[in-house]
Amino acid sequence: MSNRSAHSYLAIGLPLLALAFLFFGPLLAILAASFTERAPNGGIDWSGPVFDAYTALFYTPDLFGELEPNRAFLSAFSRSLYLATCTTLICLVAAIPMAIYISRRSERTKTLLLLLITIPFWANLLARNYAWILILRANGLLDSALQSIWPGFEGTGLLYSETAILIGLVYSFLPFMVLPIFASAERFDWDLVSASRDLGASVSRTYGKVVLPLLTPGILAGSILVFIPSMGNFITPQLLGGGQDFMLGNLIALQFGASRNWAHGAAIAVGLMIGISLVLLCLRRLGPKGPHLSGGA
Amino acid sequence: MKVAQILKTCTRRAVLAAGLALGSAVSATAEEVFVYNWADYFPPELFDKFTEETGIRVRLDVYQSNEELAAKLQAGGTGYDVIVPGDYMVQQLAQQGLLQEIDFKTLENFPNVEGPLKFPVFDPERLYSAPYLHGSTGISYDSEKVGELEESWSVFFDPDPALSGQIVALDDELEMYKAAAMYLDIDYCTEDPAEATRILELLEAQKPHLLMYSSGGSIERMAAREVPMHHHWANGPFRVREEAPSWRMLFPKEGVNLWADNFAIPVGAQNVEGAKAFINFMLEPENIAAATNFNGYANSIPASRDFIDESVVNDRGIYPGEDIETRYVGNRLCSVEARDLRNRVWTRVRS
Repeated sequence: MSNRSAHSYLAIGLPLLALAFLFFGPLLAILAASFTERAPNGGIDWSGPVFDAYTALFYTPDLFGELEPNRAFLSAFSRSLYLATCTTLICLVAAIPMAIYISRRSERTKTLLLLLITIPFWANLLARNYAWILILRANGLLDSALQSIWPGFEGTGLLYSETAILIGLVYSFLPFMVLPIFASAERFDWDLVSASRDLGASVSRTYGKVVLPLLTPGILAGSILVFIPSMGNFITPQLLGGGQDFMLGNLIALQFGASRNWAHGAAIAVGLMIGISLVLLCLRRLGPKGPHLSGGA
Repeated sequence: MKVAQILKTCTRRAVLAAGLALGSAVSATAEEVFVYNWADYFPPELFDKFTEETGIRVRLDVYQSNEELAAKLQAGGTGYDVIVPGDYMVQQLAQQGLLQEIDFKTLENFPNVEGPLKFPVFDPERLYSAPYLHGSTGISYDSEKVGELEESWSVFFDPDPALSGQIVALDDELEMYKAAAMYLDIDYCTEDPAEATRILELLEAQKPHLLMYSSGGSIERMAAREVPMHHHWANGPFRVREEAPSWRMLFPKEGVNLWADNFAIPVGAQNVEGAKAFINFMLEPENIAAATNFNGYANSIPASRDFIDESVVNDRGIYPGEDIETRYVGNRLCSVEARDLRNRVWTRVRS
C-alpha cells in the first residue's frame, strides 16, 4: 500500500470510527434498551425483546391496572410540538429581516454582525438560561426596569410559565435560524429585485415571489435546526418553566433518572426520533428538490 | 432539578482533583480509599486529617441521587471502597447483593452512636451500613410574609388563598408522595390503588397553588426572598440566616420525613480495611461534628455536640428538639408494587 492511500484510509477511517462509536453506538444502545423492560429495582431487564415500552407510549395502566390513554406522553408531546412550532415561527419572523440586513452590509460590518450573533455560543447554554432567571424573576431585572418607568407596576410574573419557556427557546435557537438564511441571502442576486421592480411588481410582490422563494433553502435548513432541538429541549422548561409543564425531554429525563425506567425513556426517545424523521421527509417532499435542502446552508 | 448543584459540583470537583493531584505527587505509592459520595457533602479538610492520621489517601467521586448511585453499582466495576447511600437505598442495595456484610456495630467507634438510627428499620442489625448524617423535610416559610401557621401539611396542600401560586414544592417523587401520604394518614408504601388515587387527587388539586416543582436553586430563592413558602430540607433557614433571617421551619404534626445517609462498603471494593478505617474515623465525635458543621445536618453521635458550632446546635431546623423528633417518619424500602404506584402517580402529576 502506498503511503498516500494509507493516508486517505486514515482520513476516512478515523471520522468513520468516531461516528460509529460516538453516534451509532449510543443510538443502537438506546434502540436496544427500548425493547426491554424495567427491572424490579430499576434499570434494564434484558430477558428477551418486548414491545411494552412502545405500547406504553399510547396506553398505560392506570393505578388500578386498567389500560387508558397515556396522558403524560400525549400532553408532553402536544406541548413540545406547540412550543417547538411557535419557537420556529417566531425565529423565522425575526431572522429573515436580520439575515437580509446583514447580507447587504459591507464585508467589515457583516463580519462584526455575524460575530455578535455567534457570541452567545461562547457562554454555556445553562449559564444563559440562568441569566434569564435573573432577568425574568419576581423583582428581577425586567421587573425593576419596568417599575422604574412605570411606578406601581405589579411585576410581569413571567418566570415559571410557558411564555418564559418560549422566550428561552427563541433566545437559545435564534442564531441557528439567522445563519442559514444569511448564507442563502448572501448568494442572492439583488439585481433580481431591481428587475422585478422594473417589470412593475410591487415591493411586497417582489419579496413574496422573488426574494422568499430564493431564500427557501436557508429558511428550511434554519427551521429544521431550530425545530429539532426545541422539540427535545429539557433544560429550558426545567429552569424557566419551573418544571410544571413537561416537554418530551423532561419526560425522558424523568424516566432515565428518578423513575429508572430506561425502556420507557428509550422508547420515547426513539418515538421522538421517528416523528422528527417523518417531519423531515415531508419537508423534503414539500421543499425544493435536490441539492437545495442539504446544500442550502 | 439539581442543575445548580451540578455546576457547583463541577467546580468543586476540579478544585478537589487539583488538590488530590498535588497530594498524590507527594506520596506516590501510598494506600488509597476511593469514596463515592453525594456532591458537596463532605468537608475537604477531613480527608486531609484522615490521611495525616492513617497515611491512607482519599480519592473522591460524587453523585446527585440515590438512583444514580444504584445505577452505577448495578453496572459494576466501579472500584469504589466507600459509598453513602440513603436509608431505603441501603436496604435495596443489600437485597441486590451489592453491599458487603461488614457488621458495622463491631467497629471500635460504633458505641458512640445513639438514637433511632443506631439500629434503624432499613438496616436493623447495622450489618451493611453505619450512620453518616440525617435531616428532615418540612415546610419553610418567610415569617415576615406569612402570618401564624397551623403545624400541619394543610398549609402546603390546601394553602391560604393569599399564598396560592407562590409556593414551591420539591421536585422529588419520594418527598412529595410521602408528604401527601402522611397528610392523608396513608402508609407511603401502600399497595392499594384506591389509596394511591387519593394521593394522586391531593397532589393534582395542589398543583394550581404551586409556583413550581424544583429542588435546585432553593437556597438562592429563599435568600432572595422570591417566594413566601418552600417545601424544604430543614436546614434551609439555617443556610440563609444571614441574607434572609425571617425564614422559619414548620414541622407538620401529621409527620415529617426523616432521611438518613449511611456509609457502606460495596461488593468489589479494592480496599476493605482502608474503607473500614475511614468509616470508623467518621464515627469519632470530633470528625462527625466537622461534617455537621460543614453541611448543617444532624448526626447520631451525641458526644459530638461539644464540637458543633453554637449556631448549628441551637438551630431549630437542624436540632428541633425531642417534641418535634417524635414526628419523624423514617424511610424503608417499599415493595416493587408500591414503588410502581408511586411512579405512576408522580408521572401523572407532573405532566
